[in-house]
Amino acid sequence: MAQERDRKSLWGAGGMILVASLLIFYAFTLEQRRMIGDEAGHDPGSRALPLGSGLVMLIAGLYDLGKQRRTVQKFRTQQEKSPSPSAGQGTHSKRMLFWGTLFGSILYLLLLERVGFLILTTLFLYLLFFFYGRESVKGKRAEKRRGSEQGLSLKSDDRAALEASATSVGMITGGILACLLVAICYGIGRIVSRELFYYGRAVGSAVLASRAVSTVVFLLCSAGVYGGALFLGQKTSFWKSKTMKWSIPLSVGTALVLFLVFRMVFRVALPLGILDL
Amino acid sequence: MLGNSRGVKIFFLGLSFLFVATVLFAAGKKEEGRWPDPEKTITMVVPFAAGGGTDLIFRALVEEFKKQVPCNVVISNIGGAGSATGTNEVLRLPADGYTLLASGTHTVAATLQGLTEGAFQIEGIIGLNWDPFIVATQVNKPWKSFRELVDAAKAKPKSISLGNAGMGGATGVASIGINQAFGGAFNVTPFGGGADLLAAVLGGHCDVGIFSQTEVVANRNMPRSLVVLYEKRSIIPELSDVPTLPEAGFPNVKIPAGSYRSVSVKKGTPPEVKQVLAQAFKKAFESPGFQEYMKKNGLIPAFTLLKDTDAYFEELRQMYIPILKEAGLLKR
Amino acid sequence: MDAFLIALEQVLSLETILWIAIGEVLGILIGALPGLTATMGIALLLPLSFQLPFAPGFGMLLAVYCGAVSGASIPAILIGIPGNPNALATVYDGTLMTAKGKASLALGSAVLASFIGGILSLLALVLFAPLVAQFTLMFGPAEKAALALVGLAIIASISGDELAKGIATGAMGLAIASFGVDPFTNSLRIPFPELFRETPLSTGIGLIPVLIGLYGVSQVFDDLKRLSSPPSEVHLQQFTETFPSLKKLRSMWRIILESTGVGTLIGAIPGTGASIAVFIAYDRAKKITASGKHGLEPVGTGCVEGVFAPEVANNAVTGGALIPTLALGIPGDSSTAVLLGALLIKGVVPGYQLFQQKMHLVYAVFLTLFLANLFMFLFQLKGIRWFAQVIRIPLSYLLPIVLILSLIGAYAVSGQGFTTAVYDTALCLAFGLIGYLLKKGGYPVAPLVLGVILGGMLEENFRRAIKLAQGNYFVFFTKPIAMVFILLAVVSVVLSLIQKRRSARLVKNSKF
Repeated sequence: MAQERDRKSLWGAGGMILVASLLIFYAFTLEQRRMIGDEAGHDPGSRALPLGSGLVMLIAGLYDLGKQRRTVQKFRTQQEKSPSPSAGQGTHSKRMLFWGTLFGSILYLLLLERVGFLILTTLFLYLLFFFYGRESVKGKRAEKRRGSEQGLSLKSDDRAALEASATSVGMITGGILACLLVAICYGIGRIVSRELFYYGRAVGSAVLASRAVSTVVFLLCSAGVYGGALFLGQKTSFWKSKTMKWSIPLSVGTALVLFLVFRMVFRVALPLGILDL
Repeated sequence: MLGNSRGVKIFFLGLSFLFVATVLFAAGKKEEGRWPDPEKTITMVVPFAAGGGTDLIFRALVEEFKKQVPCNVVISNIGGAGSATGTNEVLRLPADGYTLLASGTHTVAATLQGLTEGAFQIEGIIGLNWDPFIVATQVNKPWKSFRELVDAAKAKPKSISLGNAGMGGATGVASIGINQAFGGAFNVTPFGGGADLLAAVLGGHCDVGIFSQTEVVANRNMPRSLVVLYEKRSIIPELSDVPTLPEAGFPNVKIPAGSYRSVSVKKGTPPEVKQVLAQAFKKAFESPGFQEYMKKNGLIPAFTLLKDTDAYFEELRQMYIPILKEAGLLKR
Repeated sequence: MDAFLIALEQVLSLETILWIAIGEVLGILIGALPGLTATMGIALLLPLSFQLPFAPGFGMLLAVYCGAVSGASIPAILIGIPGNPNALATVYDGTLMTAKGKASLALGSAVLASFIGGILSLLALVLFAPLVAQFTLMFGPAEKAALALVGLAIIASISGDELAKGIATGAMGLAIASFGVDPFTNSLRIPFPELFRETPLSTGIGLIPVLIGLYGVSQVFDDLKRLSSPPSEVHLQQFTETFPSLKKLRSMWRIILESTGVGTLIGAIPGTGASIAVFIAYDRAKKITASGKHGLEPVGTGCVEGVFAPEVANNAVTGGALIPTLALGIPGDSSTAVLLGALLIKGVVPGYQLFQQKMHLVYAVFLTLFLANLFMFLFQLKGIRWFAQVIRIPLSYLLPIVLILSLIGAYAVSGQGFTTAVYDTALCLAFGLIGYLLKKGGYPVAPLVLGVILGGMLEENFRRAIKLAQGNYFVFFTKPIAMVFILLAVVSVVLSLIQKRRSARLVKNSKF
């Protein structure tokens, strides 16, 4: 284990040296210009800080590298035949999760303007809940299996969760549902508050046409639809599996709250995308 | 697979139906009306961080402007790169009159330095005011007047430091202007904003500094003001005894020394929209609230509308070009 | 007095009180969730505060700060896992008390101790911050550059297990701060300036995306490995509002005062934070109670004293850490580093001018901090059983929300500008990755953040000092104050070297 850590540190030191070298190279490409309208001079120049910090990083990185190599060598001589560090069974799926999160976030950013904040956020959150949930259920199962050898059995709702989350059909249906729900919540809130706004203007009521009232009406309408859907889902025993029960409402709810706070209250230009009504 | 299959069907169908209904209803109801659409928001982009001098002036103006238009108006502070970032952001958005730019001397400076196309891509709506600068020093320093300061600087060139509030801004240009007018006698040093400069001057670390009037007045232990860089004396009572450049004995020195502010839109905005905006801003400008604000802060009105603002802007640009050129800063 | 009334008017508005309350609840929740730190909570709420006026915006962040520091004791006491490093030392006696069935008393003591520590350190802040600020008029560019160097040196020497790594990330932070427009020559300081001249890159690298990326996104990447670990089982008992008796409090006066002193002082030293203060306070309390006099139970046996000392100390850090933040513009710990960022973005520049011209803002900070402490006490008092529930929230739901909050937070800062917003969000993501890689390589993140924050101050003042001295590079050694600062920086580095060598030898001796 310690060896594993040390090898990582070696990489860390190497990376630091690489970054430092790039920085120093970049510092030399900077134009070293005299300060405007200043004949007095004496300015250390634009290059001073990038170059200085690059050098410090380089020295610190080299020092670190030397130190790490010493420790790694010491370990080698000490434990010549130590077994290679066990990779751990979950490493592969965890790596997938890491890259998935990273590329998912990049994709999210790229599509934000086109698709729009609400739908994309709901979908992204839903997918993250789904995959993260699957990972954690896996962990739970591994734990439980260890427990069941001592006579404990898997709890039924965990098993149901596991089964539901394992199917990709379930994932796709859930994702579509979440997007539909958020679109309806927004659509109804938007239409009602807009109509009220125009009505307020038509009759010359400043209160009805005010932003605060529009925001509150939007909040009430979308929250009503959201709550209604949750309630209906409960009635028709739709949220049978545990993952479904939480991930759809939570993704839709988070997206709506963020939208309300940032766009409706603080007027941040979160893109509407395809929901531009 | 997913619980009760009949329940799922009902639920799914219900949701889909609602969705279709929503979309149909929403699509049929889009109406185009007169400008401005009361449902839309007019955004005034201030290309500086919130709380600065320029920002405060535009906030005061927008407060009055809001009362003149039926729709919502917000201020968006997009600072950075000496006002170029915010300006570029305005140029990226459509020319529909819903995005306004807080323009002025900073736009000219940023454009001439090649950081933005700004000054060539905007059209003026209204010209607002000038904020003249003041050259001031610590009370314990030996120079009692601007004349004494210049003489001292010329006697021993580059020994006296002349601070500005940042190279990109208007005080930066003013300090270059002064330095050029007196043969590069000063050690021009930029500071990180007006507050930083004032602290350095009061602490005696920097010899003289260029300030806006409010910065000088707001301080309890005021620095000694040597000269106001404008044709007329300050209208703020505490500064009314500060001489102008000609009064200080330099009638021939001409320095673009102050910051000028105007409101602009992106080029290509429909004339009727510009007309509506101009009328609304004219009322806001003339409102007692804004007039009072300008008077309190010693801002000198420089009111122009539409075409006149563009002409004034061009004049400003011509005045800046030689200074920036000589400073080796001119990129276009 | 006039300024005080202005501040009072701003703070006692419904808006401010509401946002402080919201911040407080969020802060306690973030504190109670193991793995989410106070710094991350503040970073995540930074974009929201950016949209608000000063008093409610900054007050909310202060509330998050106080709440998160105090909320961390909940899981520390109940399940033995500190919510964040602030509660590291609370674990010992806290879990012992829970085992004895005195969880309610432990939680009650922690809440009361947090309140006492917070209020006493607020007093210290009110007394000392203006005094320190008075000094800063004597600080010219040379002194300021040296001061920034001290901050960097201290944080580089205490964070992480190796000095070289701390220094390397500190320097990296400085380099990051240098991107954008050169403040002196106005030339663009970015790679390939011709290509990126009119992109947001010419603005440089903004502080908020860096902070959110390093503390929010990288946390998500880092916590992915914790996903499959089983959730902590909490046996929630019936909580009652139980406090130590007044007599007990009176007998603990020395512990309370010493812990406050330790917390405030450690907090006020730039770069050091609660994780150090709590251990010192705990250690001191152990020595005080060892004699068994004055009816004190010995710390370490699961007693109120052992919870009180670290909990007083960690909330005392809040006020202490704000002293250099407000007076010098050098943050006391990583949370105040983010708070300093919030101040700077709001256009509030700490230092002499702030206390001269904008005293109402300073008063607003004092008042909102008081409210934040008060709310912390009230909310924890009434809502402890609900706050305790959050320990059960699984990571698989928490992490996606943290990720999306980070991304949207970075997006929202620029408000209307789409290009800038996307650029900021991309930066946030990139720094999430950088933070993750740094942690993996064993490099501490805190010096990087301080480097980004102090980079501008260091560079500008360094260049300014040399320019004002007409090219004399030794100007820093000719001014006494600057000299003292440089000595301080050297001392902190040398001390940490000695310290690390000694602990390394200890480890070696214990091994073989």
